[in-house]
Amino acid sequence: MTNKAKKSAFSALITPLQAFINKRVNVWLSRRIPQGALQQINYRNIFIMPTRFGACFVLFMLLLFLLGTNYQNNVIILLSYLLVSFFIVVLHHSFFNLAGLQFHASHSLQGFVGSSLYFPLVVRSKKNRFSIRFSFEQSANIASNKSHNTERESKLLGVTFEQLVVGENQVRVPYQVEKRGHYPLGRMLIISEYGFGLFKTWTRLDFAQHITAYPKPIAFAWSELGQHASSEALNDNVASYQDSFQSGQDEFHQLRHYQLGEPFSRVAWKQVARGQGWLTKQYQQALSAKLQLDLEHLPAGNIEQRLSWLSYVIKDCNEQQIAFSLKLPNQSIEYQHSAQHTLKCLAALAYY
Amino acid sequence: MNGRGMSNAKSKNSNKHSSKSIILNSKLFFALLVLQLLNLLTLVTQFHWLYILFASIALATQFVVHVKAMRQALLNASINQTSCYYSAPSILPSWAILLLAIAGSVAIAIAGRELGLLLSMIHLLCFAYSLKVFEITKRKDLYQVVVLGVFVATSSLIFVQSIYFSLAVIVLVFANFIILLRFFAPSMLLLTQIKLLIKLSLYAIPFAVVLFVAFPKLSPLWQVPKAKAAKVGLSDQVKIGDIAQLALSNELAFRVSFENSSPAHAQLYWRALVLDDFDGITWQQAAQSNRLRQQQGNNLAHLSNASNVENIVLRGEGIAYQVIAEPSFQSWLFALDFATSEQANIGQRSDFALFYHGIISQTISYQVTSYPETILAPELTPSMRSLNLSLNSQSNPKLTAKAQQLRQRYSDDRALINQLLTDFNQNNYYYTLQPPSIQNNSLDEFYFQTRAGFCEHYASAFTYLMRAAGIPSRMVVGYLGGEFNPNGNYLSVYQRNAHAWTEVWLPEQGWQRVDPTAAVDPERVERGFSSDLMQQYADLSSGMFSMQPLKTMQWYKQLKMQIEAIDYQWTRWVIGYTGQKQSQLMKQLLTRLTQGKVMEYFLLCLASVVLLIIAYKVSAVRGKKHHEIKQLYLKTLALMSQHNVVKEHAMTGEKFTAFIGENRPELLVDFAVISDCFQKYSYQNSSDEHNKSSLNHDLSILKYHYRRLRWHLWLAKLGIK
Repeated sequence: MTNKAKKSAFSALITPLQAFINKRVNVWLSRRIPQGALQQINYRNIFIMPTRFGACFVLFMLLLFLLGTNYQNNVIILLSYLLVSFFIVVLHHSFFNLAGLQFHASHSLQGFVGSSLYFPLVVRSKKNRFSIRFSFEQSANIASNKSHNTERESKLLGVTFEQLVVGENQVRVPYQVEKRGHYPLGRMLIISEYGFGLFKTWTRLDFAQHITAYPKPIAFAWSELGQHASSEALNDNVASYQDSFQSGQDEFHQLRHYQLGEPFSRVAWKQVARGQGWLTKQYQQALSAKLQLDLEHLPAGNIEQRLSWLSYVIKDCNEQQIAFSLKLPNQSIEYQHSAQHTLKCLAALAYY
Repeated sequence: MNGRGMSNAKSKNSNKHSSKSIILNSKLFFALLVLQLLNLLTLVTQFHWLYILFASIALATQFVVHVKAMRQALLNASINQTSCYYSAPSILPSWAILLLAIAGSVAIAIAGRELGLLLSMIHLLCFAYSLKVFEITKRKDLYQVVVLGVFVATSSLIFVQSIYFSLAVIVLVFANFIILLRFFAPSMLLLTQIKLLIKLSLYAIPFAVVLFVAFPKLSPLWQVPKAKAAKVGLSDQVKIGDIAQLALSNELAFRVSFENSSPAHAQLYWRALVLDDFDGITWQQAAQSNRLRQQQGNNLAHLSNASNVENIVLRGEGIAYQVIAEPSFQSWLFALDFATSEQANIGQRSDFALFYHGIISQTISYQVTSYPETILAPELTPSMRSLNLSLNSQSNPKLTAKAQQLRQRYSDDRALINQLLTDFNQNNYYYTLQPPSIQNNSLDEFYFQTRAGFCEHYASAFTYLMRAAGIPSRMVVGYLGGEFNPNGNYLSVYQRNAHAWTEVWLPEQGWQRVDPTAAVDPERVERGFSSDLMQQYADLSSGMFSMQPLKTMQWYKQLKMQIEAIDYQWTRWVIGYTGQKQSQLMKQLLTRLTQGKVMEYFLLCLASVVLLIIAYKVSAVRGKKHHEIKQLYLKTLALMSQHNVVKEHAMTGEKFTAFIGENRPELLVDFAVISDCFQKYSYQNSSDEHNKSSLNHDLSILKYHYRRLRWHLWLAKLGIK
């Protein structure tokens, strides 16, 4: 118990400290490496540190030096000096593997939460460079969140180039969309251990690009609303709602048990045929025959859920080529159907 | 027991990550195997035959498995013909490796007594290395293999330090890094990689040399197990025939370079050790004097010590020289009489021989100053006197009788000695490498019947005669002469130069060197080997070496001399670069710096410092101009945000310009100039040179626009159009 308490106290102490340090580092970074769509890396924005192997190698050189000294063996001492010197040369070599690279990023990203996107980046180089890895910093967060398959995750989220050739290289850096909204992409980590694995050379560049993350499209799970009908029937609902939009008919609302006096044309024959009982399709009497998507009219749920449902519907409508209008509390988008319109609507959801 | 620990750690790793292992190029695997072979080859002479067997089986297995795996991989991916990728096939399950590791460690521990500590540790290291290559599952394993390989190759330098071997090992050490290079840049051509590696290693040389010359040489920090081997060269027990045996050896014993001209060949008597106890068969160091030596064992061979000691009268001028002794696995050193050395690890015995504190297990170098005219021990203590007169008189009754007879004829010691030497010279004594065998090592038989022998025969018989005649005397063994190498200006002394001579004590004159060999075969003393001996030597060795005709060729001799000269310089300047030499060198440098030329050096330093500062300032100014433009841009943004024209973080410069164009058209002109100029400079290639004046010009324009912008903003604020 006490151990746990200690641990929590420790983490309580550490977490804000870490946050503080992170913040300071970010502030410093934004001064040191200001954002820009076009960047060239040089001594001002390249960081270089020995890797763990590099540190072990330093110890190893010390060991050799001790061996040489204890045996009063000048050749071994000379060899240890040669390795020290080589270590320093490799430091420069590793640095020059990154130095002078030019990056150009002109695209922002759009995509649904939960999807994997690729950030296009043009890398210009005047010589061959090797073993450079590109990744967004978010990958670290994700990896720490899902500690189970850390390495796989981070592998997915970065791209490693064995060789960058002279001239222009097209790099597509994977990006995992995590939360809805419109926000900066953050810094990209460009890292290389080329040389001999003795040093890691890296830089963290901010290309001043944003991501517009649309809500994750989630099909509306009607069963949650506790409708009368059985769940299987309700699955078909979706299909029928799609059918119904073909020619600007009234908006499909729900399935109901057949009641005497209802017209036969409304009977959901599919369900009848399957022996699920007599159900009728209920249509909402829309003001116009046009499909209007309104956040307020959606069933109860938290805002993110509702946005996700909307997102699904919009995506679906785009695929089915159904025109619609969107109404959000703060804005409304007119009835139309086109790719731009869809994007506009999705962006509105993202910004909301 | 680091080998065992290492292999344990390994198997843990492999268990944890057995599911996924790195996929490597087939060439990399073969590079690994080749380098493993080469690394192990450097130590091959030190290995136990069992380990050699194990290592070769391991290597062969790996080779076969990798060839198979490569074929398989090539079949699977037929597109890429030249190289293919596959993950390391697991040849042995990790439990088998663990079992092998434990068994091997136990075996090495058992063999440890026979091998000695150092060799056992090296076997452990190499064993771990052999096993490690079985398990390459992670990148970390590659790192470990490389470091282990470097360590294995380096440890071979404990045993051999000759220039060619050392250079080969250094090259091999750097070659090990090709594995890592291949790993990080598999797409690079092998030739390019080799070139790159060579380039990087060459870059590494200057700084390493500076470190080597200037970094303080430390004395050993703690005791380490020394290399053990059979003793080489002279032994402290000399039987008749021993030195003749040694004279067949072409091995190098030591090399000497004199600071000034070298003395004549006949003066080059290199004292190694003094044997004063003769039991009728063997000459050895007396137990009694051994004790005495041990008591005085800590005596350093410093000159100041020598001048204080009573039994030495220093005279004449010193001859300074440097000796580089090859490992003999014994402790005595070689020097001319009377030798002094300022080195801390060199001691001097009471019999004036130098010795090394410890065993000479690797090439060592030491500085000696000898005073050949010194009188050694003008007074002889009674105990020493009796020691050097003691004789097992039963062993050679005829010689004893002869000595007594001579004693009666000559009362003067000198005359007696001369008579004996004349006897050797004129009574058909024969100097030979192949003396006829004599019964029971009887000196009588040699002196009166066979009359043919090598130096120890004569020295032995002579010393015996002296003692029997009542003149204190003892046998000294060491080397005589040496071969001068004009290419390197140094003297090589080989085992075949081994020699034995006699020292007699005469009142007032102290210990005097008498070499009966000189009486028998003067050429041997004057020039080294007499032609007669040379012929014998050639006859004897022709059976062993078929290269004999080659050896007599002139160009071969020349080449050999050149090669040896290079090796000598290496030995002298690299292996023999001791802490003492280092401090000497530094002192010399310092004195050269302080002598007269101080002003010049000072001015030179000052000039370079000034140049550096100027260079720095120029670059700083250039950077600063950039900086000023940026500052101005930021200042403009700050100013505008004060007037509620805020650039959002997300906006790019161009977007913001457009934004201003829409909302505050009166500001557009000025802002556009500033923004454009900032963009131009901040995204400019740093390698693009641009002259300072244009930058200054731009800056002044920007300042003008900034002022105008400010003016407009104020006007707008005050509501004036």
